[in-house]
Amino acid sequence: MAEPRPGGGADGGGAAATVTRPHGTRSGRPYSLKRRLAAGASGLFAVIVALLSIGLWRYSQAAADRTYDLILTGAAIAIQERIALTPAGLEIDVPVSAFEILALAPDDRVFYRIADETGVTLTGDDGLPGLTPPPEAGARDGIRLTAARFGGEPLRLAVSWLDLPDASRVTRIGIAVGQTTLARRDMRNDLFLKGLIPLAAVAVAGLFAVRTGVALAIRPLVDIERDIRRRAPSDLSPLTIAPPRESDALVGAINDFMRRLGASRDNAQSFIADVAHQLRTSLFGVESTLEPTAAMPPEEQLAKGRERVRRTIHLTNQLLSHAMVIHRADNPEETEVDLAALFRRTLEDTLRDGVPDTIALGVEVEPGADGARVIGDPVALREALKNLIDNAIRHGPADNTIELRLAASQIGGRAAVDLVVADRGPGIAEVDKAAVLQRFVTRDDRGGSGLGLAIAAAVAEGHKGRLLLRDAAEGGLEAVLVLPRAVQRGRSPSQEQGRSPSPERGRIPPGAAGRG
Amino acid sequence: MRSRLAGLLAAPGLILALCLVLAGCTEEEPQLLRIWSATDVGALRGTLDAFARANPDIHVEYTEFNTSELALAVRDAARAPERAIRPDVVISSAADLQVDLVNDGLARRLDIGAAGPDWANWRGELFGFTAEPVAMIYNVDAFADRSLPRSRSELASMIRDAPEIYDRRVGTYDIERSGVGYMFATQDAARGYQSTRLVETLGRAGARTFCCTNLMIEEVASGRMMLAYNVIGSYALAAAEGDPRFAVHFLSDYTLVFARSAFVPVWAAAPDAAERFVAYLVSDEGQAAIEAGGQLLPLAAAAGDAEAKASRMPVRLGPGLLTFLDQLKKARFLHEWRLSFMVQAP
Repeated sequence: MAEPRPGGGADGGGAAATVTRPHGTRSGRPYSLKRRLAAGASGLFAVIVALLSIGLWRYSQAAADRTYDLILTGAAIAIQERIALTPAGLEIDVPVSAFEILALAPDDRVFYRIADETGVTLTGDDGLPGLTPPPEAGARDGIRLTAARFGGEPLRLAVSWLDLPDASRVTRIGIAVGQTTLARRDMRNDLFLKGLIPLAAVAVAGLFAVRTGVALAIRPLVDIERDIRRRAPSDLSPLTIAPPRESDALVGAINDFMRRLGASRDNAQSFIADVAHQLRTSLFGVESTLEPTAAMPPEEQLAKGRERVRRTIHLTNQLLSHAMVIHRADNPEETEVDLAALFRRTLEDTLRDGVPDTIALGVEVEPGADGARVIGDPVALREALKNLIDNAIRHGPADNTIELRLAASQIGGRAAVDLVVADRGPGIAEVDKAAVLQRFVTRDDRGGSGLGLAIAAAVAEGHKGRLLLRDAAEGGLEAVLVLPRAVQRGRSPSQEQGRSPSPERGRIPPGAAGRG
Repeated sequence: MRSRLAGLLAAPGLILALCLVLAGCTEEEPQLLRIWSATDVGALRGTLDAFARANPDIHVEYTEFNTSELALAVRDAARAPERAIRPDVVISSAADLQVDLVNDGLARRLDIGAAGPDWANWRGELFGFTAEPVAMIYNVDAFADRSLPRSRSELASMIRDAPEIYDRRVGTYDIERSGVGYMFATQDAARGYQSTRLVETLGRAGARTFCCTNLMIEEVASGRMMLAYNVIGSYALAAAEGDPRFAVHFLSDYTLVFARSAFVPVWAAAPDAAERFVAYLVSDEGQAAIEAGGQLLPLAAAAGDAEAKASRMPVRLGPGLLTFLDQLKKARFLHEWRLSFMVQAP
């Protein structure tokens, strides 16, 4: 349970109000979720209540009309029954019951008129409307209920025509019974008001529920805000609040972000420490080498110093390369990369930098891997590949044969491609294979910075792939970058840059390298 | 004032025009309140005086009619030009005629809190202010060794079985001339199959018909008549108090109770004064004044014994009363009544 909030107003908590919010100072006060939802819900409720009220009003009117129309109809029927043709003539005996029925609406005025088909009033209130003109003979339509005005008041009128057959002809008698609308208005208003009360209660309850609901819904946000606000700047530990399911994802995302931020910060810190240490060590090495000493002739000392400086430069380059790879992984710039072309360019770069004549370099694309592409960063991938080739040259024997091979494979059940750099060197002992992937770990002192494999591993990871180190069948080491393959989008390999579909086996014979 | 009333005095059926110029009219120009009423002025005098004392700014002009003529006069007034002399309050004991006038929209709605029983008010326009039973009266000496009838059935049998005693010595209202008499007769007809038999019996016995309760009281008290059926109980009770020669009897099958009612016409020239008067009639003070007047019974009155009270049947003010005002129905009813009463005509 969260601690009580001081003055939890409609604008999201008093605690926040004392803190200047950059967002708030830039563009006025930020909008209030609570107020917006309350306003929206109020509007919605108002519309619903209005619509229901209209319906209720109509229903009330209809119910009241139906009720009192029955009374009116009953009275009309009672009067009809007492109209008869007798041998003495037409007999009209308006019954007491008709008026007693009408008196069920006790305060309403009552009118009636009985007329013959020529419109002459036989009895009742002369001038009561509804009986002129009489309907065509035979058009019996029962008792018709209409609205009218009479005697200065609105009236409900029941009009009916009675056919009294005689030996010679049919006598038609019209009966109009009218009643003022006091009782039905009372009933309508009563029904309407009694219906409105629960409607209003529901609306009020709904608004209250919305207010409460919004407060409850944004409580996790308030808790998260307070948690984060209370932290020391360096505190990147996960949030400890127990979020409801709905904000679970948010808390998860924040925690994940904090974990990555923490990891990245830790990496950066240790990297900076490592870099500082390495560079300092390397520069000390240069300095001590160049210290005047009697034990070594100056020429030899100079050569050694130059070698030291060269290593330091290499180290610096590698450090920058590593930093670049990491940076690019953080800000991926992804394009489709043709791996065979990548191989070729990397090889050209390597040859341009100079490779001893004794080392043979080869490129092989296995069947099934021709035209293989990955989605990724070509610069980072080339850097990784270059480092692997560098490593092979650096740690292999003088007559090394280095083969770049592209092979189809799988990673996590998905189609992948292996970028293999195989050498004929001594390989790496099984126990060291994990360690050499770390920064500044190297097997021997051949001038390596200890960063090459780390860079390759970082690139593999950045491309959702892996870096494998394994022993080659012919002896030596195979460094394999396993990268998930790009999904082919209806392209046939033959269309790609005019490359031949057959496996390409290009071989650069020993000695030929480095001259191009 | 009398010259202005001359026209009204000439009107048929105008029994009495009375102008009560009341004491207490001071410098202020008093407001004239015209009351047209089918009630003996004697029965209401105390009430009018009490009202005048409480409202010195109102000057009451009281004109007395019989019920049928009052209804006609009010209808005439409704059609009369605005400057004609027209009533501000209409009071009648003929509930059906009053309801008819109000139903035709002649009454103004009054802002008077419902007073009295439910049956004695209609629409907030017509206000009953008395509850008067309908009774029979009999000559005490003539019934010294006879038992009184308990029901209309017994009354009919009694008269039929002894024509030599009752012949031409029974009386009732002339329902053609008296509106309230017509109402009593039609209410009887609406309530029981015995009424036809009773009417026939009365006709066969050569019953005499009267315009007013007071005349019947006189005839019964004097002994010229044995009994009179359907008289206004409040008048009879008041008269019997000072006259031992006759007594009031309530039949126990049912006793009609009607309300004398008042309304203010829409055209009232002094509507405020009129409303104050009607409000006074149904107020506690007004009801007390009516009771003190001794002739009328207030709404809460308990007339008769417990049995009579149990059989009280109030005549509800409302559209139900309109039935027998139907032209055809009324003509037929009167025709049949006339036939019954002409059987034994000499």
